[in-house]
Amino acid sequence: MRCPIEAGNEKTLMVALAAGTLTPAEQETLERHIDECAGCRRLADEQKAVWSALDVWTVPMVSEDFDQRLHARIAVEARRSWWKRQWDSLSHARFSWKPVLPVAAACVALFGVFLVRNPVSLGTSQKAPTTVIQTQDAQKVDVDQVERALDDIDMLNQLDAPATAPHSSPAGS
Amino acid sequence: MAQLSDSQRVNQDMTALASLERDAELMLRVRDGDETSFALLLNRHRGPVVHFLYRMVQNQGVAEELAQEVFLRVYKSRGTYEPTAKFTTWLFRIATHLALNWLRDGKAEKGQESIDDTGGEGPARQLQDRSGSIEQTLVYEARLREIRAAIEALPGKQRAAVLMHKYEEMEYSQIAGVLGCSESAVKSLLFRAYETLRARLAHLV
Repeated sequence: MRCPIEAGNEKTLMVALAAGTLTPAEQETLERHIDECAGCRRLADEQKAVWSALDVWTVPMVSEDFDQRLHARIAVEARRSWWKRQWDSLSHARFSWKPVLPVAAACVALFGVFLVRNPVSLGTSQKAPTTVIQTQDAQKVDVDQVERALDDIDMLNQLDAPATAPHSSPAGS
Repeated sequence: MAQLSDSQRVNQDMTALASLERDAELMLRVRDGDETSFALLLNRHRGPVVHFLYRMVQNQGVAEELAQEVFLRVYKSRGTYEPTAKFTTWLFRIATHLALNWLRDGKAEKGQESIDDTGGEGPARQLQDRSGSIEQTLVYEARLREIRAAIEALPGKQRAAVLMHKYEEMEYSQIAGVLGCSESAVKSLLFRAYETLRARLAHLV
């Protein structure tokens, strides 16, 4: 048998030897080699020591009321409302909500950017919204329309006025 | 450990296979509403799950709470159960997940019983040799402390791999299924863990 250390499989074999999972033929072959190889013998002895040491670690007995407590928890679970069970099944499902929220947020952000760059008009006219004054007789008057009318009147007055020497306009006008 | 003959090994494998098929069959009955089958599964796997968790978290109370959570999750999942993997693989996958979460959350610092605390479990703790002298008892207790400390020092997945390999006698392939990794990764975990344990425990024999 080729030395396991040289073959690179010493860990596999020594663990299997200590665990007792080798076939009788494999064990006999390995033990014959171990008798002749100091390195393998040391490794085998150490692994067997670990195995024996772990055998020392026994465990406490399970509590007598373990099943009773478990069934009580199951009963509590059964009494929970239907919608809570659905939510729990979604929470434990393979599908995770985690990637959905940031993706949705990204979509909303992109839509917002699109709206800013391409504002959607809500009415048929492209004009800015105008201020409306409610008159006494409920007749609505467009303020912009009034201003335009006043400008027209002013312009007409200027046309009618006699020509005068140009003068500097007062500050603020 | 006594070496088995080939025929004994074959018989053992067939018994194990029958047991595995039985587990899946029982769980399918649980899926169909058979509460008795769940009780049978619980009776069969309660001990191994609790003991595995006990060695993982080294606290009996916590181990039993986590084990209850394991079986509760099995019960809650009964409606969608499909025998795509061995029942014990699924069972220990849940148990390992819960134990690793518990260890990660740092509750071990608050709830873990002291390595030096050998009381509190009363007659439930099984000593290796009750008929020995006081000196032998002290030696045994000292060895047990070293063993528990050595296991506690292992990283979570190495610890789980060693416990499943040593005490549950799981094969590499099944441990890989529990831990969700490849068989070669399991071997790497195990051999690294045993190397650490050899350095700490070889002097005990």
